[in-house]
Amino acid sequence: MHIPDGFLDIKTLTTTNAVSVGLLYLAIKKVNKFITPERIPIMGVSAAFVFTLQLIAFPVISGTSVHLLGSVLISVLLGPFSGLLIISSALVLQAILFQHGGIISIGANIFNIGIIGCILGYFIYRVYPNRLLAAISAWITTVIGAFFCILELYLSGKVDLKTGLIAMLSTHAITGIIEAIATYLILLSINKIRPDIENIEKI
Amino acid sequence: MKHSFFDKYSYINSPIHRIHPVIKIIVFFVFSVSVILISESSFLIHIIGFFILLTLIYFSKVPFVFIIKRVFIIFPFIFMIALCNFFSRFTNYNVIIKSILNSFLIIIALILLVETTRFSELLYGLSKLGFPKIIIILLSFIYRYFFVFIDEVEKMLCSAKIRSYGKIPLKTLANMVGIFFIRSYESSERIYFAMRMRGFNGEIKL
Repeated sequence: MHIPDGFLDIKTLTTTNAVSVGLLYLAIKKVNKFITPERIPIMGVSAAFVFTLQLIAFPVISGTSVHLLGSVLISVLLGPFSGLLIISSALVLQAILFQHGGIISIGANIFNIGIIGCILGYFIYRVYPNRLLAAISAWITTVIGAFFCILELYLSGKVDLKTGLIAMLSTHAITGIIEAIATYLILLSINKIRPDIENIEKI
Repeated sequence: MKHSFFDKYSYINSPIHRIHPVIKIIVFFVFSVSVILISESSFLIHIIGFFILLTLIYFSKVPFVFIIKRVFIIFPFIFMIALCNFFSRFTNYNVIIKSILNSFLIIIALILLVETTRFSELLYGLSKLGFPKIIIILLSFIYRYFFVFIDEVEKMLCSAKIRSYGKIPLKTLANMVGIFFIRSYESSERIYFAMRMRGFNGEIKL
């Protein structure tokens, strides 16, 4: 899902980076307008939480494992724009420290995971806010993210559209199910132990 | 516990380490973008780029074996995307090899940048280049608390494994992550009080 450096050509890189920077600018403006001093540590520690969450291996059938993206989870907990900032900074740090996902193609990765996961995922969740819809939106955004990932690689002339779509969508339909179940269960357990966390202002 | 494997050479002293971080970041971006731009036409850039990187690695005193090891950790992910092309109808080996070489060059350059710059200097350079403040704050928070959190998660995973005969069911894992979020939320409350005590009023000075 994370696109490494060197696979996208210059026109796809410019487009995705421009779209991501534009939306990030909007998100930063929105967050800066409503931010309170208490919220800075909450956002920072949540970013560290997401970064660590993406290192935990979740089991899938037959011994393989995946890691969660956590974008719908964090945007349901803290709001779409804070979620976008948190996921973007986690992706930037992953690219810098582990080289997992590229730093030049960071715009594409922020678009596939952050913007689709947080903004679109949160607006699907907003239709009727409950945990089940959050799980469904986690599945939908994982699959749409995978679709855009293949689309970007196809536009750069690196993969065949049909083969890529079959490979990517079939695997991400399964990992999406894990993501959906995990999102549901994580939200359930947070609600059971600290119900007041749901009252954090969602920006 | 010891986790600082990814920037353990950033504290040694060499001519490359002493260059201003802003210059290093700009050089890295110019190098990567030019690799992507020029590689469309010929393989020459890969050979030249590789020699430039070898010279820089030699002067920076970072062990060459260490960089190769780091590259091979990330290699499976690159290979997986290249594999998608192998199975398509019109396989173009030229394109695949070029993109893999591009990836290698940019990854080696990035590893060199991270290994020769301390993380605080890197953040300073990024903020000088006009990166938004809130992103810098989030990055510094992640770097500060990630090591604490990964220890905590390792302990939780270890005890969960002991209790469930080595194989953790999804429900337990999800509950664990939920508790992990609550723990980090509570620690953020304590961090806020500690920051408040030191005179924090919503403004972070970099």
